[in-house]
Amino acid sequence: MNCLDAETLAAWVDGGLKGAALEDVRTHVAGCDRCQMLLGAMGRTRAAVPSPEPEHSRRRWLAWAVPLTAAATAIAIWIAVPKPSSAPVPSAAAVSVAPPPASPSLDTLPSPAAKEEAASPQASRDAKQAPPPPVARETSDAGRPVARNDELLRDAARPEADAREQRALRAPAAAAPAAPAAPPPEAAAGAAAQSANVLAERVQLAPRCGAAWSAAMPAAESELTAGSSPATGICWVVGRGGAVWRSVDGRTWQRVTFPEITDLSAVMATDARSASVSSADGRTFRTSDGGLTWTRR
Amino acid sequence: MPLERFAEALERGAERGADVRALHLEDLALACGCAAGDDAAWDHFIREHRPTLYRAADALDPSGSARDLADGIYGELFERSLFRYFHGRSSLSTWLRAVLAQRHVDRLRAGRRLEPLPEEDSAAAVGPANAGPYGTELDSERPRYFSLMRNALQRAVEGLPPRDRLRLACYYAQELTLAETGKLLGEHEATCSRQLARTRKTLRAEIERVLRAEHRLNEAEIAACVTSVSEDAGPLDLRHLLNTAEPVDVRKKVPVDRSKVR
Repeated sequence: MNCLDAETLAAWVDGGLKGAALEDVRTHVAGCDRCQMLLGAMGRTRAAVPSPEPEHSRRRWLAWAVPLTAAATAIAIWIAVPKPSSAPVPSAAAVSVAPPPASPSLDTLPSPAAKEEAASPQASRDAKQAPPPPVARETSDAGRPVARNDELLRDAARPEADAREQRALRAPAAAAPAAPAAPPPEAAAGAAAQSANVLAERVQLAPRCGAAWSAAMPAAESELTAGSSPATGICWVVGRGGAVWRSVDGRTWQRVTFPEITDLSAVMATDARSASVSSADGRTFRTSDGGLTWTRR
Repeated sequence: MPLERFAEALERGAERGADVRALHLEDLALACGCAAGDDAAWDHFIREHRPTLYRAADALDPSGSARDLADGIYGELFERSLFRYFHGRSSLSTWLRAVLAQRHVDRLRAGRRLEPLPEEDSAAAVGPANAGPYGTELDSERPRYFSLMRNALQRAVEGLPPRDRLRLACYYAQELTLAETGKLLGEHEATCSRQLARTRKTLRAEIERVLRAEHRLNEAEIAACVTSVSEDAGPLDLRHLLNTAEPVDVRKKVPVDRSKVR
């Protein structure tokens, strides 16, 4: 089979290939340098596609709708049904003021790492003892670090590493020290850790940012939507309302001033100083001085 | 839009094995309209798809060097010549990204042919013998360990079924997400993650077998060899190893010796 043409590649990516044609393509690409590079290039252009409204947010809304409806129904029944007048009235002394039910506030929620530790203490211990990830090197192909190349070699060297352990390695350690500079409040830290976890799942930043990168994630004042990590410890994340954050050491985060209050949907960073940010309405902004100045394309 | 052109495009799509029911007919109609010089179609294309093309170029190369490729594609689209290659087998947006990716990769490869290849087998490629952090004995063995590991890893990768190799290539070498990798392979991302974990174990077992049986390393040497490479991969690049493996028919089942997998 010849190398993929653009139409076949696009059809494959869109799920338009079936049967023998699909198998032929997979067989060919498994051993073809050029076609594997094509897949990588297609993957990098994913930032060009406006991300649709995530399905889980709708599901989350539905998940709230069910208990809310049930609660409203219960209240309506409680109001509609008269109380029996013969019910004994407790004396004031017998009434004990119970503490309010503990609502799951953000600071009482276990961190993702704590959950991992509860599920797998050994994995968490390994995570704490894990050596720092190797520094990603630049490659000549597209100027991108081959972080996962190193990751595979590291993983292959640890045969006991299963998927759960990998997640634990990527999650912030439960006992990770707070960021030395501007540690967020505790409540915000819980939310930030959750936000970071979601972001890490979505954009798969953690492997290159180090184990503690999300311990001091920016406070979740706005929803983070995308991130880019061009090298170990260097991360750029963007979110709604013009939120842009940058980390150059994998632990602390700096808020980067963005010229507009607009929802940002994608970021592609090349190093600690240069990044290209796309807004949800299709505009692109670029900085090459760490966010001090931005140019609109 | 002339119906004849649309019908002709449909026929070409069917000739290329596309299921007519799965064709992206709206995009095909738009492409036919643009190719026929319909101003409204062209205006719609510029509004909806031109930004995608340039965003994709910026994503491919944030330094902006892929923008000239996007300019070239846009020029060909304006001259209507490129639209005839779109048959609706994907969305127009995906097709534009694919055309851009294809040209970007071909240009990279053309440039790469002009660059001298690194001498990966040389000791210089893994650094001076005594420059490492492991103490003199391990550091002095590093060039040898790299050579052995490259050989063992090459053997292990070649022994993988093509489907596993493709999964490794997509996820580790090309850095697609698990979801994207799974979509290309027709499997759920959770399945993809499990299969990657299984493949890593297979690779590890095969590497150890080769080092033990063919290079006569003892357990301590194997451990030192693996540690040395896993902490600093040096010149080992999975992409080179994956691309030199011979393609094999995916549909032929390649037996995997489960006893090798720990």
